[in-house]
Amino acid sequence: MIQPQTHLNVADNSGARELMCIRIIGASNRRYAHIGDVIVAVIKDAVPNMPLERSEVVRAVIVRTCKELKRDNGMIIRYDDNAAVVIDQEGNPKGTRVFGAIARELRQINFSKIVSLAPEVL
Amino acid sequence: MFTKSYGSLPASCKITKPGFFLGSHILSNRGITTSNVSQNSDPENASATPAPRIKFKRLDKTARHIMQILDREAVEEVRTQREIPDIRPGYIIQLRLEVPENKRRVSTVKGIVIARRNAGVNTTIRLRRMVAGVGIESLLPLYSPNVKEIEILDKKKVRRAKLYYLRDKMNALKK
Repeated sequence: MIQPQTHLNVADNSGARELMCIRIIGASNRRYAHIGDVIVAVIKDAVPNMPLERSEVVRAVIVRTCKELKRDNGMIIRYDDNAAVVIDQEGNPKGTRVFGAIARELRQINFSKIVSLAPEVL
Repeated sequence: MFTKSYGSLPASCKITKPGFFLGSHILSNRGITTSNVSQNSDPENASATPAPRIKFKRLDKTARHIMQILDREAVEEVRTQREIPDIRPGYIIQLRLEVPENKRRVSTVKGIVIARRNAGVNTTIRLRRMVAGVGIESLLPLYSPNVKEIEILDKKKVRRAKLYYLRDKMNALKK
């Protein structure tokens, strides 16, 4: 349940370290974002000497949330942190590596490139 | 012996719970009639045929009982097919899960059980593990057909039924 002003960790090596959500892409007046939703975020903390800098507005897709993700087979998954991967307008990740576990649902939402880079797909 | 006043309920009418008053008016009427009959016949039959009591089972209690039986049967059926060991919080277990999304069964899941919720066939366990540097908690139905095999690796001594304090302590009881 990510909403504006939520700080998120960054799960790739694009250069950002922490993002703050500004807006949720989708229907207008949408309250919360879950895993697989695209958000607009501003970079609050960045790794030095990288193409992405602090206070730059980027798009990101949420890959991990502390709120549970429910599956149809009765399984529920809950991560320990909120994290996102920085993407560009088409949906391709800006970084080249992805860290941490990624949920399988991202493959159905056409983020298969992120899923293929993931070290572990849950 | 039997009060005949219309307003009150006769003693021979079996009332199960005070909340069932709505139906018991009907019961009481029927109860009155039969008790009248038996009153007449009682001095004749010296052999003790007691006044026929009208018993009404509460339908929601009956339904709940039937659901319990169905639940127990479903659990028995799953237990005969697969061997599911007794799992308690504090155990470190390894599961083999089948993922139906066009992958073969692989998926070994290894973690510590931090909670168990008993609900018949929907008994769920919460597993906590570390995957690629991120802590993950999964809630799995124990009797799910996707769970292929369960193996107990270790048993830790815990003094609690729900080990939610491990969320802050990450590495204390390792996966």
